Amino acid sequence: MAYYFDFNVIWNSIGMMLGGLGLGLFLAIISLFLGVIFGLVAAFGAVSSKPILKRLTSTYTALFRNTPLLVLVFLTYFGLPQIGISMNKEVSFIVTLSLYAGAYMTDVFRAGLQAIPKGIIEAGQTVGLSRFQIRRELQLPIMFKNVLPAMSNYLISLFKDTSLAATITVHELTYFAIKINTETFRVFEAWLLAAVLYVLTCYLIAYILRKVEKRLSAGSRKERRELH
Amino acid sequence: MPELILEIRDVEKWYGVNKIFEEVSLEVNSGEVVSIIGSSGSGKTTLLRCVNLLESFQKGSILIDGNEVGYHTVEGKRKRLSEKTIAHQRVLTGMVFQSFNLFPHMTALRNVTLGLIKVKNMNKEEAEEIGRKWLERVGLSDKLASYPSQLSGGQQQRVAIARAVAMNPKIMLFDEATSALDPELVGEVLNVIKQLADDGTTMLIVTHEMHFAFEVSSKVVFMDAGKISAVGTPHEIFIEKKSPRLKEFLANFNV
Repeated sequence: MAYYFDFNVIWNSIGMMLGGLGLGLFLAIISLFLGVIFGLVAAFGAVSSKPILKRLTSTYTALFRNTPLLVLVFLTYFGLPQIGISMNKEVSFIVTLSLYAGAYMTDVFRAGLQAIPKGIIEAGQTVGLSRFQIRRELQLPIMFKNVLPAMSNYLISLFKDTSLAATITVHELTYFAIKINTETFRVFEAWLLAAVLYVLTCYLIAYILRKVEKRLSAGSRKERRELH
Repeated sequence: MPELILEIRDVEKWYGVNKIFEEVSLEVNSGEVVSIIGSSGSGKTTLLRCVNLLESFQKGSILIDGNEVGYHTVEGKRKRLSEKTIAHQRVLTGMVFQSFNLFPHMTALRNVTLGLIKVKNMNKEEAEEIGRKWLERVGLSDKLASYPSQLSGGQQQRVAIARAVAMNPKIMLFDEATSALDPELVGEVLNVIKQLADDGTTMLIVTHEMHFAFEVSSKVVFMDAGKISAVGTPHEIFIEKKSPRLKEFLANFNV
């Protein structure tokens, strides 16, 4: 049996789909932002000399990295209210995705921190910098420069993960694709459009982040010129 | 009248059950250049790292400018000072490492000014003036804006020297400052150190460059098997070679 394409119904819903896309982007960006904060705190715990902090962070990353994201989403949204912790679906998803992102970021940052030669930290100490100054002036900027490409890639991955929010009826792109699908029976068209929108957006994110990375290295070039 | 800048009193250092050195006592007066020589594993570098408190030590005391650093005694118990106090005390010493250890994300000038701004609380203009002056002194006035990755090993080590002396320490510590350099770059770094010595900078130098030690030192210390085995003028150490162990060690160096 042949399938006849009919995009007309789809065009009527494009506004909805784009709105959903925007929400997905928002969820990914805010989760990455929060995830970076969780990751930084946990990564400094992971490289600290205190065994209790090390154990805490390794437990955190192990739990979140070894559980499928969908299970975490359900656990937070359906499970937590049973013990009296309810959040609206968007907040619930952001909490889940940012903790999940934080667990990955912890490992990225930990590796980034451990890759800094010990001598550079010692040089900071001999100049008289405090532990906090060493963190802010040396460890963080050196680490961020090293992990920036990994973080860019991860934002794209997080953006795609926001499609799971459809399962708890957050109104993002996949949710609308399901909706159009069930309301119009234009199954192939709805999913094709969703896929195309995801691909285009991911390309756009990658393009922008490449520009940002270039801009950051151009910044140091500019500083060099000014000094001459 | 020379004043006593560094006084090491009967210091003992262990790593777990391994004794690194013991009964180490040494004095450095202002304007003196004291070189420490000895075979690998004799504890020279560890001693230097104890002086600027990168390493702990289990016994004895180290005084800089008359004040004990790193430890204090509370109710008869020897305790390591807080990290904050130690950070302050580290400003008394300037350290130059074997592997340069420049801050890779900062220009040569910023490498020198970071400590001046963050630790000595200078404003940017003041710090950059001092930074420029010292980078010029080490022959790098055209490299202010270069990043470490754009510099040769010799240039990086000269930036590291500028970074340390710019903080105006009481004593400069050099930990095998030329050991990681290609042979043709050793000279430029030694010249800078020699120039500082000629200007009256107080220094404690761990080195394998025997000719250099002979030339610049006021006093030479020979460490062997975790102890100070001989101390003397360069003449006493390199020409008279009083002990058999010293003779044996120096035989490796064509001196």
